[in-house]
Amino acid sequence: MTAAAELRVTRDAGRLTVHVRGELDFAYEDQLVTVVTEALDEDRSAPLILDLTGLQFIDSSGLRAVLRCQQLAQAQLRLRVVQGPVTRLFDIAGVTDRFEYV
Amino acid sequence: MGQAEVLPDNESDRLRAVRRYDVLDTPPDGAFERITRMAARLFDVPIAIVSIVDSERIWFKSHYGLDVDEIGREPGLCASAILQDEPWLISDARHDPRALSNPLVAGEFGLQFYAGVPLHTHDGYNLGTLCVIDRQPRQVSDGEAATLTDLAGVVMDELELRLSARRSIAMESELRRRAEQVASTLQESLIPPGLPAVDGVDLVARYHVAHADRVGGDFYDVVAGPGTTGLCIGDVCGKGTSAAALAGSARWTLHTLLAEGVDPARALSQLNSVVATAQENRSYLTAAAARLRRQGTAVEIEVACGGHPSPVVVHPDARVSTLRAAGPIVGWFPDSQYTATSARLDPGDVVLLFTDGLLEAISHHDSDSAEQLKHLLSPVAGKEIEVIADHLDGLLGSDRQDDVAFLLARIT
Repeated sequence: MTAAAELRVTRDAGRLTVHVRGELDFAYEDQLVTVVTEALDEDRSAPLILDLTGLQFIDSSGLRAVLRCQQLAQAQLRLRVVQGPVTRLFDIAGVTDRFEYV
Repeated sequence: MGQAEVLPDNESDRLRAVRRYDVLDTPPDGAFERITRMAARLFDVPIAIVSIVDSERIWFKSHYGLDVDEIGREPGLCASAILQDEPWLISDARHDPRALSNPLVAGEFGLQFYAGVPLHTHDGYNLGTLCVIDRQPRQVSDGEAATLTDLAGVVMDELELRLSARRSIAMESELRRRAEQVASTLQESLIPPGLPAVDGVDLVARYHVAHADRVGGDFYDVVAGPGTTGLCIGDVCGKGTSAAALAGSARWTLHTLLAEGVDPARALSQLNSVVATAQENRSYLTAAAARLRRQGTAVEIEVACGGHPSPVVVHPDARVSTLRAAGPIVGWFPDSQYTATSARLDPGDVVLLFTDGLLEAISHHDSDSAEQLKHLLSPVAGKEIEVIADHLDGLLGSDRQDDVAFLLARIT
């Protein structure tokens, strides 16, 4: 059931944003962590935005990917989310208040 | 021509090679049929054969223009042809001392022309021949002999290809068998061998693995103590042996804590700090822990959840309620805290603890699958828990990606 996720990095006004679209599951966990690691290598000062608004699906491995990104970026990480699969999973997982949002 | 004269020096090793290709007595097959048809056409002869020389017989893998599957080894020209590595040519058998006494030449068959090229394996054995046969004398040019040799090479390539395909299939199924063995051994540490008998509570559990060779991270357990019963269920993020190993440890940790009388919320807190410290954020799990305590005819249930779907209660009057207990995932943040929810259960009430795989199996896109589950449970309210369990099993599709575990407890 592995559908594709699409990862894209943009720079706007000096801030890096990693956009994740599609379905974030086990198949894309390591890939997301790699992309975020590279973005952090590029810029360790400005907030790094992880834009999850384009996600149609996220599972427990997808959440682990986001948690691993947070470990790497620490306070530098900001999430962008909309009400939907991501916020539902965050609520059940009890992690909503563990992230900073934009 | 006695048989002793036509045995190669390495005959027993050669026969082992014949067996290795596992071609004897296999059904006719397009590739070899094409090669004999092509050989007969190229040489303009009525008969072309792919032969395999067995211990007592010469068996034909393909026989174009001849309605015989095998002949005895003794009169066989092919048996002679495999004694050398070069093409074996008899242009006019009536005048060839090597063939005069051969029954195929002297007898009714009237063979006069034979050209055979050995099927030579990479390790030096001649399995049989590709040969062309005529009832009239015939000359073979060097070019024709080379063509026949090339065609024999094609036959051999085909045999080698089949052998390696068979070997990789055998290797693959052996690997799968081992993986399944590891998976099932690990799986045994994830669930108890049976459920304990508990006074006043009927119990049923089900565990469905999505892939037999890929162990998952679902687990459950039941702990029967004096006057109380502990239940737990959980799901480690990810799959494979590392997920299963963490699931096994989590199950035993919860089992021990619940058996010692630790309440569900504290049990999850302790499991959380153990896992978060011990495995440094490699993975996390979700879990629900519950404790049932008899209070007269009723039972008090305390439930704590860590990132896990809340348990539901199916009442005999067909109401289905949720034991809402929210808490963070277990084993990731060292400082996570858990709180328990309490409720009163009456005789006939059935508590259902389950893993996320159940919701995933019943979910339709964009619907609230937890609500969906409650609707699906309502028709079996008041039924025996085996019936409820069968009903839930029936909701699981065959193309599930995730493992499913659930635990049912009915107050009697």
